Amino acid sequence: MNLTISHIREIQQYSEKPIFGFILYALFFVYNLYGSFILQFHKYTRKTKIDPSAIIHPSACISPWGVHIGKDVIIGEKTVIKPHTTIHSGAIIRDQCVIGDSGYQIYRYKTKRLPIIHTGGVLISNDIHIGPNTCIDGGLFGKITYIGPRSMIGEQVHIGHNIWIGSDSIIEEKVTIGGNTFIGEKVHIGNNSVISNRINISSNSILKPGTIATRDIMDNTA
Amino acid sequence: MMISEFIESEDEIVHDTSFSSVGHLHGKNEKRLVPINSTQDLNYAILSETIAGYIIPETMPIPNITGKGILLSPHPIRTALGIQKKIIQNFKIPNLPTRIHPSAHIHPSAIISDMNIVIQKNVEINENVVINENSIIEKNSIIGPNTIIGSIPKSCYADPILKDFNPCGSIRIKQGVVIHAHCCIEKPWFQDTTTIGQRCHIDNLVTISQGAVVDDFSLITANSEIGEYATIGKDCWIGLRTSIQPGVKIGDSCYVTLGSKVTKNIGHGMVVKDNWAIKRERFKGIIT
Repeated sequence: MNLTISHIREIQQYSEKPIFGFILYALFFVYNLYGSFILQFHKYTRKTKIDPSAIIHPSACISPWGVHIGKDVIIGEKTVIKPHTTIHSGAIIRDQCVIGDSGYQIYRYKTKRLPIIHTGGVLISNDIHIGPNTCIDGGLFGKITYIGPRSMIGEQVHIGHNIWIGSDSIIEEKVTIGGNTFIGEKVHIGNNSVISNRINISSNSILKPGTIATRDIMDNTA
Repeated sequence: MMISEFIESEDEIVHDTSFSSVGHLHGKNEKRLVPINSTQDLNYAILSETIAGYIIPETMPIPNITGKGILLSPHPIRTALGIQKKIIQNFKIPNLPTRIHPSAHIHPSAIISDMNIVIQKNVEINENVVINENSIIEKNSIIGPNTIIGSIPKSCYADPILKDFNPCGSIRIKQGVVIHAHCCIEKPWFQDTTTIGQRCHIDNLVTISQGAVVDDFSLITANSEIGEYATIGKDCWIGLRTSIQPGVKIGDSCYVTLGSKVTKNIGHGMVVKDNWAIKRERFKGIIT
């Protein structure tokens, strides 16, 4: 099912009603219990596999379970890699990145704030360059955030949960991308630009620096 | 206390008054001395009633204000911090060792200073976190990897002259707060507190500048920047990469959408959109 913004506004209107909102709160609470059980189960079944040809700085923190690191990967100092991430061969990750941390999904009911557990992960394909101080969140509801092969990501970039970034795309410095967006192949995104959640940016499009994208962007536009 | 008690040889008094504390231009303490750099700041400072006196650089012309103290000095911020240092030495506030509750879960790569820190029960502190002096973290809160709590503020006051001084403010993080990766929470130069209310959620790459107050239940999303001494009300939602200018007040249950830049005060229950942030309620029908 593909959720659009109008669907979500309907759900938000329901959540303000007292009885229905409380039922949704209880449902998400039960889902959190289920998610924490899954995480505990994966702790004992999935161990980390690090290829011996990978170069990892000694101050980097890598989770003892649920991480796969391929051939010739370079990982800089003070990077943190959380569980459920797979990094394919030839990827370069610079200093102080945080990859696979839990994203920002919160259910609001009156004064209650319920963060929802992220059971998904991150998939980083081969030959990717990720600059320093970037944050990439893990997927929600068992999905993954995918970054295609041969793409470049600058420094201080925030990439939300469930994002698909196609191959050969370039993302410059200080870009923030909201959750659930789809970015096609060979896209160029200038620095300091913002992309809203739940929109599509088609392939071969170019965003100039400082743009604020809130609508869908069609093919081959600049 | 009078200004003439704390004066040094370089400084020069124009009017002498009594004051109770030294503070920032946008601060809230009553009867405070304020260091001022430009004429723009002075025009703002004349309007507020809680300021007792100004410290003005020598190059600026002396304004005609009656009933308020004026002090001339070559480096106004340095003299203000020097006065504050003398006041603290007079009161003799004792330093206490850190207290960490045994049920708190702290990663071994985290760096925690050993003076004046309180960490309560069930706090979770992740990898490479740095926590500096004078900070309180209440129960059930989570702090993500690579964040810095209590960093020295950058601001306009970043000078090589200020190497002798330490920021002597404090930080308070209330219960149930969740802070994600790469956040930065600054410690004020003067005796104020940056507070984050209970059950707030703060996303990646957020910087909260000195003296800012974020009230209960409000949500701040990624890459946004909150200026010095700005206040955010209860139950707010602040979008991606917003920047809030110093001294701005935002009311309860506001929505600030993505990419916007807030320069003026906002009332309760408003929705703010776009880079040129307008109060949308007033222009209904004209602008979509």
